[in-house]
Amino acid sequence: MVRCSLIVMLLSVNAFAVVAHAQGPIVGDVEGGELRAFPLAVPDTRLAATSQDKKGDAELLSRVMRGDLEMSGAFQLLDKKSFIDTDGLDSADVRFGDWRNVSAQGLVKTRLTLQGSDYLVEVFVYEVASGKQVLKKTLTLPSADVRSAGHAAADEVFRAFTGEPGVFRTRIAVVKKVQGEKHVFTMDIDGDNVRQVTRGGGLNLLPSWSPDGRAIVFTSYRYDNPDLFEIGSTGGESKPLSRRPGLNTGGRVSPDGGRIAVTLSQDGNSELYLLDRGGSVLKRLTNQWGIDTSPSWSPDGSQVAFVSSRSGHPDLFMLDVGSGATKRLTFKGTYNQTPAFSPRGTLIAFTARDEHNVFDIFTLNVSSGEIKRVTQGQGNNEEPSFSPNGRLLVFTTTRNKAKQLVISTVDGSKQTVLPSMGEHTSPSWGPFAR
Amino acid sequence: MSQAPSPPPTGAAPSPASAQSSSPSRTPGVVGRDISVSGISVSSTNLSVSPRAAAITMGQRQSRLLSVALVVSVAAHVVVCGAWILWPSTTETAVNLDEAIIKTRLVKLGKPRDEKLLPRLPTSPPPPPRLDDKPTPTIEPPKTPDTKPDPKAEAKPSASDILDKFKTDAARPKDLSDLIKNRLGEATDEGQADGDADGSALDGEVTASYFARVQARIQNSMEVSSVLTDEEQVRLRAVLCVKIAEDGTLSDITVKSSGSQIYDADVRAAAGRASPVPAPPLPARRQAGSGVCFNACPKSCR
Repeated sequence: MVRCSLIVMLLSVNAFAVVAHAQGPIVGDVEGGELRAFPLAVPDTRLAATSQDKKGDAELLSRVMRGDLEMSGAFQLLDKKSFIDTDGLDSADVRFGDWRNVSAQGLVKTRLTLQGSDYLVEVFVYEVASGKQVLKKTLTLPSADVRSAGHAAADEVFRAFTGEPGVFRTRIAVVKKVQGEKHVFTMDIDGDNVRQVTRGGGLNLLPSWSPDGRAIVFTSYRYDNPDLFEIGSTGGESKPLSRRPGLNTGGRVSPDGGRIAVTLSQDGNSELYLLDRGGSVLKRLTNQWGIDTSPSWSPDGSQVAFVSSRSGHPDLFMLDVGSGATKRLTFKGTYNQTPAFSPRGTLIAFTARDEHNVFDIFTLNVSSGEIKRVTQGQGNNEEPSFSPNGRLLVFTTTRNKAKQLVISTVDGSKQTVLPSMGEHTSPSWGPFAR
Repeated sequence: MSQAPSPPPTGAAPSPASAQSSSPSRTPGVVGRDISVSGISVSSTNLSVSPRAAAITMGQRQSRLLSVALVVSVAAHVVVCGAWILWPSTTETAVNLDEAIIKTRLVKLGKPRDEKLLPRLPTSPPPPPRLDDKPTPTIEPPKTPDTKPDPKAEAKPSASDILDKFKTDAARPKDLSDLIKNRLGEATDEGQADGDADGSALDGEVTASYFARVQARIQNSMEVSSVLTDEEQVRLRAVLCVKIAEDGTLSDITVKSSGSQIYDADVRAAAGRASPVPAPPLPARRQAGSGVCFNACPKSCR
């Protein structure tokens, strides 16, 4: 058996060698290229024969799915007017030539069937060039939550083409002003399905998710001092974590979920500390004359990026949690703040004030130190946070006067302002849905 | 503009006072009427004018002619100037509708950006470098080995040097085969075991230079789908094979799969967009026509 396999392998190699020789010698390397959004056709969701009265839900599902895929920046959705969807759903019934003619490279078809109190969402995904079916999957979701079904279908499509999990069912925590108070809310990534998390306590600020997505750590002035609290991501009772004198702010739970990096000023100066999940101090991380604040964990939990004024103005620094060794990361600009480590650990997104006194979003390549600009000429843009797959950023913007949220690709090539009412600050992108 | 003077009233002598009362500032018509009043007697057969009145009449006539000429001159100037301002040029149209409108903005001269400042995005990204679309074969000059500069080369040429140079220029090769002959001499039996019967060392240089330009052309047309993962962008490697016709058209485009059909399609599409490439020069034609291949990688093939 092994011998047979070897013979087959050798024959295959020889056959390829003959083909390669017939094609000609390799005379050069074509490397790189401009990144281009993948042209994708997403026709309207069809309804099963038994569910023809659910047209509104089918339209909503299509709209949510298309919005998600467009927002991801990975796809360029073809205008629905540019094609007529009259062929079948299964690969044998799809006329790929027609889809090639409208320049689609990918094709997504969906069908909705009501079954009891659930919706069955059938998702068919094709690569048009090869006519290959890359996904055929049926999702079962509560019929009362069509939007979730749309997000789930978009996640499946994203994974089918990229091999990476989609972030369309994740949620974003944000601070909103409500009747003179500020509270922590969570929302879907398209700005819909907003839920209030904190209640009472006046000012509730700087939310940050636990890695399992079950809890949110935040700072509250409910006892007239900026103290650190923890609350369930769907609300409930707040649990105090640190009520030391002075500042107890900017708490960030470590990737393993066991520790919290936080800024405390109990000794008179703002320094970084490491707390356990109960709030007890494990370690003092910094001890400098300058203000040290805004910690952000590297994905492996070995390092913390933070802001320090020890260089004379706010700059980004990196701290090795084990050894305590610190190194300066930014040498450009005079006001660099709010660092956010990417989930891949390769980039740090941050806010910086440029020479025109405008705050914009930048990324710093951790290994090379290269800084790239994400936003420019669109009001003030601040407080970035990475999506859990590292492909997107959320940040605040004043481009339409009131502070709104923007979902942006990491290079800023695709930016979507979320429609919202009122001021939104301090967004924190939650982990993958479990 | 001539006006017949009206006969004077009976018995009325011309009055100097009334003649002097005619003012140059008056209108020509009024002047004419004054003339008739001032005693110029005109009949169809006889014209009798006193010497003084005649002198006044001559002066008034000159004044009237001057006024008329002035008016005519002003009118003519107005007409000419108006035509010059309002009428389009006769030699070219005011706006050539066939020409595309090109918006330009002068770049301010300044110092290089301070390294301590944060980067800015380009407001208008520079277009990607593209090779000349015309399929005109060009010959890269062969590289010469690094040699120390000859101190004599900088000396001023003498008349005999200039004459020698003239002779050399006259004997300069006219085409590629002359260039090859010049470089390698007439064909000999010497060569390499794996060489080509029609081959020469120079063929290799010209060919390599040509395929480098084809590779650059395909690379400029390359667009990588953003759905590729970071890992795929590092790992994937396809092999693109094409045949190049004498006019530079690419045919028989095949891709040995990278493992990702999406990237394979990107590579195939790039070759399609790149065609036609520059036409192959003579030494490269045979190889180009029989087919050549390129490694294709989303980021780097190394």
